[in-house]
Amino acid sequence: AGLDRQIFLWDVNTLTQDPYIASMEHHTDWVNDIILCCNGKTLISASSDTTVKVWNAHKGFCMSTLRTHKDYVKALAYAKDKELVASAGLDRQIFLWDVNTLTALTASNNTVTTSSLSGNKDSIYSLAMNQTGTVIISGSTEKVLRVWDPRTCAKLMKLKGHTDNVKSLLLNRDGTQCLSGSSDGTIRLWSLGQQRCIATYRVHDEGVWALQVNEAFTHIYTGGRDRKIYCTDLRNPDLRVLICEEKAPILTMELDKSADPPQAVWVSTTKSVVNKWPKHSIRSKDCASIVQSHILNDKRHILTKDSNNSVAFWDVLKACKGEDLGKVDFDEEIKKRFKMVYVPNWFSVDLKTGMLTITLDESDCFAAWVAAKDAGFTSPDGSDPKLNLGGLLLQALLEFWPRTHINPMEEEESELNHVNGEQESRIQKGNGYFQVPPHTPVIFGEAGGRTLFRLLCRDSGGETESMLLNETVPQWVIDITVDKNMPKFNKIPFYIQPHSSSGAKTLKKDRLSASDMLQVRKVMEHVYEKIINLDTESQTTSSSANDKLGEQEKEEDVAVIAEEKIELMCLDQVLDANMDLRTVKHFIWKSGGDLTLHYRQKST
Amino acid sequence: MPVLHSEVGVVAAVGSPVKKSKLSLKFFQKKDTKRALDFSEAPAEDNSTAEPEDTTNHDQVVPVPCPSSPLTCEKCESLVPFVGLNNLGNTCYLNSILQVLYYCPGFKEAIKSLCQMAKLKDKQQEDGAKNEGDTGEITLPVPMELLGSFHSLISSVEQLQSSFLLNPEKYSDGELATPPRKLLNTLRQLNPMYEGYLQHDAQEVLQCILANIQEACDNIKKEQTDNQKDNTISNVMGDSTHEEDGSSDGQLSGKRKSDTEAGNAKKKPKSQSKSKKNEENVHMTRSKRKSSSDITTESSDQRNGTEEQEKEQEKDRGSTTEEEKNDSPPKEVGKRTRRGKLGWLKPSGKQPSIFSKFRSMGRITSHVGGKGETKEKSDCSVQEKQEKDTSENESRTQEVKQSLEKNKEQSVLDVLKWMFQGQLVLRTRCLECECFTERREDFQDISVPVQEDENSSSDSSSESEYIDTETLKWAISQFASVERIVGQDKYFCETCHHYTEAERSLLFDKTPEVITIHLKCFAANGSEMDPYAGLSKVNTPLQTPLKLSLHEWCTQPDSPDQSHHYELFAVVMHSGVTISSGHYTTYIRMMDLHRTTLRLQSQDEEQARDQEEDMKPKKEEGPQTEYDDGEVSFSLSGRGRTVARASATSMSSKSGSKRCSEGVGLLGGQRSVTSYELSNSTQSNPEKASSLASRAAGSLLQNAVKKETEEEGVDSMGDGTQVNFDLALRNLLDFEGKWMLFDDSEVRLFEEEDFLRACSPETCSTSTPYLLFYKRVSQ
Repeated sequence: AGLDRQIFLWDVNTLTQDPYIASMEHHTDWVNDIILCCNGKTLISASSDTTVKVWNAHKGFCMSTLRTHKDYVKALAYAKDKELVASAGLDRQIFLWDVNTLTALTASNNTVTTSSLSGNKDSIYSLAMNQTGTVIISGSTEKVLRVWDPRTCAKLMKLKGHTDNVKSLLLNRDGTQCLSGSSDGTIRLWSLGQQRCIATYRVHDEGVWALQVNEAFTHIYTGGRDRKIYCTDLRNPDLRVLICEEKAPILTMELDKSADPPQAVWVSTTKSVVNKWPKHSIRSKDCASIVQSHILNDKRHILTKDSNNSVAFWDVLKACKGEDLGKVDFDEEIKKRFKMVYVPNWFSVDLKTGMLTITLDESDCFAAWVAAKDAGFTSPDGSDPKLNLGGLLLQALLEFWPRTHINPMEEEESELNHVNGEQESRIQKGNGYFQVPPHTPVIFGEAGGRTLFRLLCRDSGGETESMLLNETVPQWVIDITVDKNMPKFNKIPFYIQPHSSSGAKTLKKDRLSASDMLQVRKVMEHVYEKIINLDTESQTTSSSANDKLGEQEKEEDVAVIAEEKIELMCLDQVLDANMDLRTVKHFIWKSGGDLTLHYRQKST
Repeated sequence: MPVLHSEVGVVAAVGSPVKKSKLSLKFFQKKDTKRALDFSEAPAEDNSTAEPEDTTNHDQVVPVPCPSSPLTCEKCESLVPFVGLNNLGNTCYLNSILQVLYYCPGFKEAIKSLCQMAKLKDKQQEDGAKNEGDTGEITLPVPMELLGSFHSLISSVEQLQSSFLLNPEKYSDGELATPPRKLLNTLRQLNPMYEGYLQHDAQEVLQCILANIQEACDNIKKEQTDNQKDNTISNVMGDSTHEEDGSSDGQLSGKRKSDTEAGNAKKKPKSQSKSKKNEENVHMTRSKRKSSSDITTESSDQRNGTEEQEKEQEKDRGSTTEEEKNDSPPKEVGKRTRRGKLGWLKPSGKQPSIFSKFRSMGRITSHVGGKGETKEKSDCSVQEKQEKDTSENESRTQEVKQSLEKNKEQSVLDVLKWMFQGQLVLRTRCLECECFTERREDFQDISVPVQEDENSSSDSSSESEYIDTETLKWAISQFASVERIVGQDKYFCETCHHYTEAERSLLFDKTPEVITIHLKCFAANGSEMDPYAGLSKVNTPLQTPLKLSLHEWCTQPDSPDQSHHYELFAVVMHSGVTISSGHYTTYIRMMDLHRTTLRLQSQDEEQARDQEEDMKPKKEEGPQTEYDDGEVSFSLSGRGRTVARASATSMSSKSGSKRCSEGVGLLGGQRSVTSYELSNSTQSNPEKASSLASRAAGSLLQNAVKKETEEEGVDSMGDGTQVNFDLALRNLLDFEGKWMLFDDSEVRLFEEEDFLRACSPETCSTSTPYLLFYKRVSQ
């Protein structure tokens, strides 16, 4: 069977034989390059999550992770004869790896020694090594090619000529000739012996991103931003053939080298599609990526649009997809689902992997409280407790972590959590209300975005995972998941004054403060009880910053009465009793400064 | 308003005498300078200063005649047919800029045609709104006044030049110079900052002037459209409306510039409604003014749409207060001026990022430094020199007309933009997907880092010299350098949905006809700290090439329609040791003189004559009188201040004792004219005077001969003066391609090599190029 290589730029590595075999997912960011080595047994991938991972290509699991790079890893190079792999990235470093060592790594024996090639002055975007491992070349935004001998790690030369970033490189077998494709739109053929450019090919209108050559090193296949793939005769550049035109810029190509000239070329583009040319047996994996998202006002649901223009509705809290809306108008849908509610932000959304990634950060994760009723949950005792969205989600994500089942302990950092939802499930411990799908990936990362640890939600019960969690889970997460310390309510200061039309004398300005999700109804009760009723008496105590009006027993009836008797206004707009204070402040008050409410008795 | 009236009256009274006095002044000045040279400066200055003051009170500078010295003779010889501008009290910053503008190809003509257009309109307006009579003039928007005063300055310069050409003998002793008084007054109205006799930054003045002229253009444009659309409406709209607008604008500008500007668009409607309420007579001028302001603002408005509400509110407030303010036009003026300036600069406000870039390049810092400088400067004296050829003017006008006629008035209105305004593109390209985003921004000049200096001709106390190691090219590439966004702070690419590396570069998208390069000669950090000796100016040499190509920084380097090759035609030099004080002079390369000639020979003569005639009446009537008036009042007020300041500032740096004396003299004596001369002579003369003189001698002699002949012709101008003209022109032609040094009222000839030497780092001096003006040349 012919071996084909596919790359999804997004978070998925898929190794495909004729039908789809498996997908490998462990990177938390773009996978920029992959290499098959050891006769196809081992796969090595480089990712923008700054790691290089070694996979068992047949079974599809990640054997080890190399974290030596400090920035995106952009390129890999492979010397087949020596089983030597080089990785390079935006941190300007090149590391050399011995594949046999890498595959021997285990969880306990995980130290590797590498040689590094330094000297690059700019970010490296491409790398090539010849089959025998005698020459290695890097291409970078420095616009020069730098050449090393990987055996001695000695710098051999610099090749100047390109006027822009060099994005693809190829070496012939013995390392005497080199081909480079650059963002300046040219392809250059270099003689390493003469240390100079011996030919320049201007085939493409835009940057050249992908480069392949036939076995005999006589014809190059090139693709790039202009979406076209050309085959050009190296000795006679006028002989060029347009092989195909893709629908999106071309990221990589692979030739079917079972014959010369190659019988087919596999092409992957930025659209997450892999096509096979020239047989036009186009096979694209349906893996539409999310390209647009909108957080709804309730700060719980998200609308997304993917590259197929399908719109979906997600429930962040439950980490699952709520509804597939099909190809509807995205903006219309947003309008349709608008609610006059204000809930503070408590997460942020990231689409870089083409999937919805929800990031919780310590600074605002606990900002949002909602009443259980509003959230659609009913507590066992029938009360209407206030729920913290961020807290609930964290608890749900870590519900399998044994430590959350006991009680004590500590740690710290910011955290990411990755939602890839499809299903829903049962109820267990966790937060007592709901669960997230057990396959939900959870990622702990540094504030800067570097990944520390990634696992699936359900795996947190495993022994190793549990240990690692102990090391990585930040204190603020522990506080809520292990120690069950609920964060404090947000307070909102406000004033209550009689409306000017009521003729009542202005009260002395007392600054009240209440939970920001206090409903207007409660305020009305307060007004009714403490101010109107006290009118007869001396209004001494009304000033106290009394917020928790919400002992909701007797007040049921009071509330009703209050609603009948008075109305609250903000900036002359009568308030709906169901609104809460933060919504009032956000949608009606709109400005900074303390919210001021006016009340007046209904004229009945 | 009342103030203005009174002024006008005075002006009229003073009118004619002034002119004569100028001439005499020149003589006087020269003498003084010479004196200064001969003797120690200090005493000379004192005398000179004292004398001028007295004279000023009366008319102007009718100076006490001084004994002519041999030096005078020299000067006479070296007198060239170009007109200087008298220093009116540290106004060398203004003079230098005015000279540049005057010789800026096409600029004069543009002003003229703009003026014509404006005048036409005014007439119309007046007709329409006769009720207001006096107010009409007063209400004329200040930017328009600027146009007018500029025009009258041009006229007087041209006149002076032609009369000199035709009649050189008259000037044999004197200086060929005219005081830019009216313009200065207008400028002060526009921006109170220029009141008094402080030193200012030449670049700021340039921007201020251009901004206001642009505003005037906008006004005119607006009016045109308005007139077409709503004659009736305009009637309906009462003065009050306009006034309100104006005042509101002013207020706004004070408060929030951006808001104001943004708000303008809205203002209009509101104002209209209000105007309806107040049913007063329609004031066309008002409307003009208003419209102008609106336009400027509008450009920036678009972005601010969201803030409109606030603005409206503000407007309301403004409008309420406005009526009160109407009574005090000057205030409005000042405010408006500022606004205008802002308008010109707006782009910066709009697009912070680019600007920040500028800042990083040192531009802003330099500004700051400059301001400080301006305020503290005490020295420059002003006289201006200018010369002009009527013929030249004509020819140019024709040229301009030719080019402009196509587009007619509109193009005239846009001529400023066409001439000085280019567009920059800030391009950010994601290195991953190679998509880029662009942001465009207009620019009027580019500020490049320098380490500093070159020198000008003169010299008295040169402080330190530096070797040019850096080239202008280097400086520009600093300005337009490519920046990579990498590492921790990656760029978020909308296409990739990912943080990626990116490249950010600043490129020229459109290049203007005239590119102004502002050399940031001041240390970005402690503006007052000079690496050497703790002085303020950064003195690092920068080579000033005669030709410049912007090719490599253009978005379309090979575009056929635009050449990106430029040729140096003017340099404003700043001489002085510190930022806080110094003297500005200008080198200008005379161009197109021959063209003038040709045209003259054919039929231009008549035109020229006509023009001259036109100008004369104008001058003598309105403008001149006005400015005389202004002059008087200014000089009075100025003196008091100056004296005080003089003591305070007396220590200016050293620029040698001479320099100091200059500054002091200016401040104390204030009759800048004299002081100028002193400075000029002191600085530049010692070295080169002789050589210049000799060089110039030949041409001068020729000139003299011709002039004599011409003289007669001139008298009987109506008839066959052609011969004279020819001769005169021929004289002029001798100066084609030559560099002239305009040092206030003094104008001297420089051969190119001398000029280069003056500008080169090798020459020791504290005087360094500050603003470079390049004009586009076709390949």
